[in-house]
Amino acid sequence: MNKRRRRIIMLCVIIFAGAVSLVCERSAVEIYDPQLNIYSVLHSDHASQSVIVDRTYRMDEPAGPVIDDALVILSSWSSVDTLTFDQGSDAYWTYNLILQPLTEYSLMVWRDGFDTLYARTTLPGPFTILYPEHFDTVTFSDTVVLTKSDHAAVYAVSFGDEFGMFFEPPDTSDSLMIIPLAEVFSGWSPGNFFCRLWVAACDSNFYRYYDEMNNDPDVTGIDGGVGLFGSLWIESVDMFVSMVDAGKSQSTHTEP
Amino acid sequence: MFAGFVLTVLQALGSVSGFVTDASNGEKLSYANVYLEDEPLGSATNEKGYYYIHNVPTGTYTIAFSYIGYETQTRTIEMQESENIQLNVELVPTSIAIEEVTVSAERVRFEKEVEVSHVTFLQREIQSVPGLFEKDLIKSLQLMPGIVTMHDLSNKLYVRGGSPDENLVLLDGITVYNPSAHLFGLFSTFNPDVVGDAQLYAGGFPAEFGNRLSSVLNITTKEGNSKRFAGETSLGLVTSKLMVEGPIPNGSFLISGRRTYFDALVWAYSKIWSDTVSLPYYFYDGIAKINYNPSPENRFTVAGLGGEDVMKFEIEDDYGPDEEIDFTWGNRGLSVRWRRVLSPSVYGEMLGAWSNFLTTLTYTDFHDPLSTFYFHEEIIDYTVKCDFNWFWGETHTVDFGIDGKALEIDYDVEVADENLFNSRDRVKILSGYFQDTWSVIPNIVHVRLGLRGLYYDVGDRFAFDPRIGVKYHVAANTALNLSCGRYTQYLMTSNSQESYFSIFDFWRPVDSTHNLPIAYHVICGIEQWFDKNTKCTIEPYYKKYYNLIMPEAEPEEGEFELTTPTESLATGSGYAMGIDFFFKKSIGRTFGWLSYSLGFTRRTVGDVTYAPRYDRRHNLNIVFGFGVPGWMPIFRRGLLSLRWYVATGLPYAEDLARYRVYTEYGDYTWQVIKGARDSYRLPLSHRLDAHFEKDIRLFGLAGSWYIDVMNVYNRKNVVFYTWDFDHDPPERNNVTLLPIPVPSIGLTLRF
Repeated sequence: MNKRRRRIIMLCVIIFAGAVSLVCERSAVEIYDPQLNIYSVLHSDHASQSVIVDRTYRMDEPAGPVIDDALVILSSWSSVDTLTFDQGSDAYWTYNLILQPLTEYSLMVWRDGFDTLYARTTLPGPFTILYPEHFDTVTFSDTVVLTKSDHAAVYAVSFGDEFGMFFEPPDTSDSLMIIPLAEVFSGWSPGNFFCRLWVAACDSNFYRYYDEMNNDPDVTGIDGGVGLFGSLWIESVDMFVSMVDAGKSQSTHTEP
Repeated sequence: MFAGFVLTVLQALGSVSGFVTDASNGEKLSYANVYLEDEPLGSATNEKGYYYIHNVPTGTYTIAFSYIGYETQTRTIEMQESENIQLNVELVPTSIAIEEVTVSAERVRFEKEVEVSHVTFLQREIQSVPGLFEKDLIKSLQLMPGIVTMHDLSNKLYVRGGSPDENLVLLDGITVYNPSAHLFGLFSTFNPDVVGDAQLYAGGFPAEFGNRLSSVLNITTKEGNSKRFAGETSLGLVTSKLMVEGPIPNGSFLISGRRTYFDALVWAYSKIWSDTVSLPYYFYDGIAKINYNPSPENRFTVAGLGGEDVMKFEIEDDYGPDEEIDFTWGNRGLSVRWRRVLSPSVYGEMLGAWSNFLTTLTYTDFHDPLSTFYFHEEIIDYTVKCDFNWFWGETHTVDFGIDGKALEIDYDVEVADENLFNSRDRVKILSGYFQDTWSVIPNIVHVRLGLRGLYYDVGDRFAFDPRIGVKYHVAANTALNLSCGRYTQYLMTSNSQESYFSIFDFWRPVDSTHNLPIAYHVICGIEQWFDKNTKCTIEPYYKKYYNLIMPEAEPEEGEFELTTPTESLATGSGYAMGIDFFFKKSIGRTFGWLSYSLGFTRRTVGDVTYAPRYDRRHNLNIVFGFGVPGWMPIFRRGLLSLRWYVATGLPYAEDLARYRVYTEYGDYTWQVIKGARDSYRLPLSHRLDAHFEKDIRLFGLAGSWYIDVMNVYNRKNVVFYTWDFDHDPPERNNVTLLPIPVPSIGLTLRF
């Protein structure tokens, strides 16, 4: 092997060794400080309101129970309430707050060892279900008609056991909101039954949290922590559903 | 008087031109040496096997044609004044290892071409690299420097910090939009049995190619045997293949097809062991080619590509069919090419090509028609192209051409027969290029100057991409290279290129609200030949991106993406830089190469600069193959090749913390809080693969059998992590793709 070739090979080896040793990747170490985690939805039709206070956990630490010794204050321009912890429900409660529509409510949670959490929500305005009226008989081809709620991001429809689909209000100046019952009853079996229809006007915090819940909850309206502080204005109507006019659906499911 | 003398001499000079082909099958021989014995005149065939020797004075000469692996042939010519002699020659192959042929062609290329970052892969090389179940061109290319993969089964090319949608993939002139769509992205569309050669330009590609930011993969299928009928059939663990080729009057044909039989194997298994298992998936593809040469100057080629992946199954409940899924996708294409020697020094080619990628997914819920879902995506590409190659004097080779493209890109998403989304994009692009390769100082300094122009009818935009390449032979075996250029792309993908698993890309034209993405390449390098079969290249590069368009959201781990163009897009910039090192040697049946890449890739969106998931810092591949000595039982006289690779772990977003996501009903699920998307790296990846093949005779037919073992020492390379929240604290699980050493066997018979 001549000198020139040796030199070239040595150069290659030096470049390779130098490159490997100088630019080896090391993972950065991110220090994570746990934060407070809350869950609270103000319901216009409830006499009492609750807040669950929890915390985040590093992946390598065991999870504990909810926090029961925090200072939780719910306030608006006209009221300030300090909530008390209830062992039975693992939540903080206030029992004497009358919610006012279109009012901004603030929540402050303080607990030693964590950043203080501040959250805000504006309760959507009231609305009226124009159709169906109480004890009307509805079919698949009918629609629910309601007046729009001020400050509602979306409307959620449910039958008491769980929240169903979200319906976004159309971007028009129309003062009415129309929800097709065919979409509400999608997947239900034919038959006649009596039920209570709940319609909730949801604030944007509530909508974003549930819309993204299976992915990465979009935490809005909270500083210094994670979770949800949202609000709902709720109206309901009792109705008789006649599913013989099943519209497009040919469902054969036996249970709703 | 002197001028008059020179003029007289020049007028008296003639030329020799023609094609050099393989006598056994009529295939072109690229980069064969052609020279006049005892005269300082000579040339080499180009990629099409065509040569042209200028300025041959009148007289009698012996012209020699040589190519390693073939018998050298000589012919005597009588050159008359101003005559052009057309001389087509067929060389007879000798028994020599194909790897040496490759290296020899590369050596000629080294001497004649101004190219950087270029590798040629022959079919034999693809076959000799260990694979999983099936030899695959893309997987073989992943062993080249500058190319990284996302995981053990990835079949995408991330070239020098570029994403797969920045690569132009051509098969016989057909643009292939989803080259790795088979088996959910595990196999490429190209049946390796019919690949003649594959040329990869990892950067700094010439003006002939455009419309992509990073690289060009130009695949040419075999011509088809013009001497005799021949064929090859292969039986592997998951596919069987058949290829037939033969002569036709004044030409040749080749037809091939392959199909998986997972579905049949699983069906048989389910019949034997249980009746509940089924895998309603298969893919098939085929490539066909016809060459017709009505005269030595004219050649017509028709090439076609077709294939489809099919997944169709029904789910039944007690009342009968409940749900049905019908999912198909596939590439199709057709090209018609007319190659004509216009004059001995001008060579032209016209191409018309059609390419189509179609995806349809239909989900039918028989109980709930409102849930019925239909997805349709289709891209159709019509291309018309003219290329000319002009041997202009002794020192210039001029390439110029023009191409027009019309694209139709459709998307439809329907739920319950109602259209949720549709888009119809119709785009026209006109491109032209001019390129001169100039031997400034013959055999020492070569310069390639090129310019590519582009008109894009969305927003009536023009782009001009200058390219320059310089090669300086500092010694007979050493050359310095420099290449710079600007590259423009008018297509983008609406799916993330950082997904670990994506079946195919969803292409869209860049709309009028976005600037055209552009990249600048600067590559310099040194190429050293130690002997005729040993070479080494070192290439530092820098690539700067502007106006990149990419999905806003970071892709989820472990998810197959099926996106629509409604995804939120972000614009950004970026850069990639690094050094590629390549060493290749071949002696007889022993061959091998070492490729190492050091790379840094960054993308910037808004104020955030991050390393994308395909940013591998170090990537080392070692391939070594040798003929097994005769004293070894069973394996004697076979070919054993090994491939070992080691690479830095990919960046990922670490899960830092978790919290309970409560619901209105009092229950909760766990949600994780992620760190910065690139602050952590997965552990080092490494793996050893082995390939053994041996020639046999079976039923009177020549053939070979092979056995491959992927992941010989059972390394569990981590792709991503998942968490088991049933434990407190949760347990982290490694997701790996090769949990055991995976063997595969196959048999090939030739007739």
